[in-house]
Amino acid sequence: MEEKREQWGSRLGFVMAAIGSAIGLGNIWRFSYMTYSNGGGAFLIPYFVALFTAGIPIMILEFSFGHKMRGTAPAAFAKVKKKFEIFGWLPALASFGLLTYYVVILSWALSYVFYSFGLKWGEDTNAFFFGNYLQLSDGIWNIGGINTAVFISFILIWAINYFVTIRGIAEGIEKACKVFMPVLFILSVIIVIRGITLPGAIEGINWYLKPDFSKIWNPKVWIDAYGQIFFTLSVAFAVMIAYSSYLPKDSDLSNNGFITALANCGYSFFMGFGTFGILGYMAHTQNVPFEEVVSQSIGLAFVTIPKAINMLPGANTLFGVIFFVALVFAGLSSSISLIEAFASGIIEKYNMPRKKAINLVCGIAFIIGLIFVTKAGLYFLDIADHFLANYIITAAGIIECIVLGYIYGAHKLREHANAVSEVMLGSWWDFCIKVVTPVVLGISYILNIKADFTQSYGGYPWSANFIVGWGAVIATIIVGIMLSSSKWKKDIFVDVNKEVQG
Amino acid sequence: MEPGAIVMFIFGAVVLWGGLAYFLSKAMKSKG
Repeated sequence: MEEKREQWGSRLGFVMAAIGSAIGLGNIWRFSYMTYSNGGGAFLIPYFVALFTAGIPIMILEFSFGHKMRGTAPAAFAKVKKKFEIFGWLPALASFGLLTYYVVILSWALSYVFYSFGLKWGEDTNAFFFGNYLQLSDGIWNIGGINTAVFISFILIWAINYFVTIRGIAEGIEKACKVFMPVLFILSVIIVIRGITLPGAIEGINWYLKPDFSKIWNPKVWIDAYGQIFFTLSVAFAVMIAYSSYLPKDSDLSNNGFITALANCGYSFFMGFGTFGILGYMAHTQNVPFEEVVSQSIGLAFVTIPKAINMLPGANTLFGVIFFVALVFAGLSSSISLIEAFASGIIEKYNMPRKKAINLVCGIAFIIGLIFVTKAGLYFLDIADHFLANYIITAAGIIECIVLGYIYGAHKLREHANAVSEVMLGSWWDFCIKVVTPVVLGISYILNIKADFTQSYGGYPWSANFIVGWGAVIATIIVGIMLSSSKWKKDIFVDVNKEVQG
Repeated sequence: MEPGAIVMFIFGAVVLWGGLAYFLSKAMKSKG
């Protein structure tokens, strides 16, 4: 008996969830710094080339693949050829791995929502974050036990993720994203308005967008642009394939792909004005060169921004709450998609009820995540992230392009997308999938391997990189092989066209 | 703002926000 497949309640719900998955912490803390350090406004040229030759084509590829196969990544690849099933498990498992520490970063942001009241981080925000809050140990092997402050937020963030995903696609993820995304948008507008109206903000924005065209002749800038596009869009995470498998039959795939990718990148571009406006204000207030205040990633969010909040002329607590709630919301819509990417594969493979699968996935991820809640958690997080992103997700992207482009046939997915979409894809799309994306990702992959074998990543001991980094990569591959070798509890290999419901 | 930064702002805004507005308007006009 064929069970009725879950479906999105509306097109808006799907688009909100897909944008929510793509928009994450990186949009707020990474894009603007990358633009600044790679030629300012000139970086937009390679960035847009990457967006239109790799980002949007892969987004449409994944939407078309999930929609046509009516299956999550493992099932969709298994339908191409049984032995290809592992190519669906690898990105799903990488999403699972990423989830285990992504939730921890959200936990920090949640803690900082509370610390905003009374600006609890004090004057020395660096010492507060790494010392008082994370209680960072002096080395990765000095684990030092669970950090209680992080653990409390960790439980709260997991509870939200759990209660959203257990309710399913339309009732859980869709409804949550219909709240998260508009709220995030409003908060972001407030952040940007506050950022650009501060004294010195224009100076910061000049640093963000002032073009240095000499930099775009550097191949590294192009590799960075493709990498940024690839990771920001949540492609090769098994998320978009799973999400599009829940779309109704007559969904416009190409237009949804363009909207999702442009909304994600447009959001990053927009937030750059907020963060660089604030950084410009800091440089102006302290009367120091801009280079001394600029930062990215964890340092920007948990050290520099709290410092800037201290310096604001008014409403400091309110701005702190807005900024960190925005981080939490941006992250939550991504973390629920990471749960769904893996859990939906388990549900499909083992014909498991959603509740049981979510209990299992969240339970295991929670337990594994505890290592990142320890006093050495930041070290583990940094290494795991580097290796999973560069060796599993990048490889999954290359394999996806090769398998779907050459073996399955990019033209078949293009014809499928064109049959339901208003925007028609030409053979240029096949070229992007078959040549541009795998070549650029391949070069990036080789450069990463070369770098990691000549120098220990992050200056950590080789033992840490081998055990934690390569250990995570090898564990992902082994579990992927185990999952793909087990028997399907549900007959998914029926005519895919018959499965499509209107 | 410096002229170069203004030009790149317009360039980014037209491609990203203009592109998004274009595809959103198409989506709203279609029944899909």
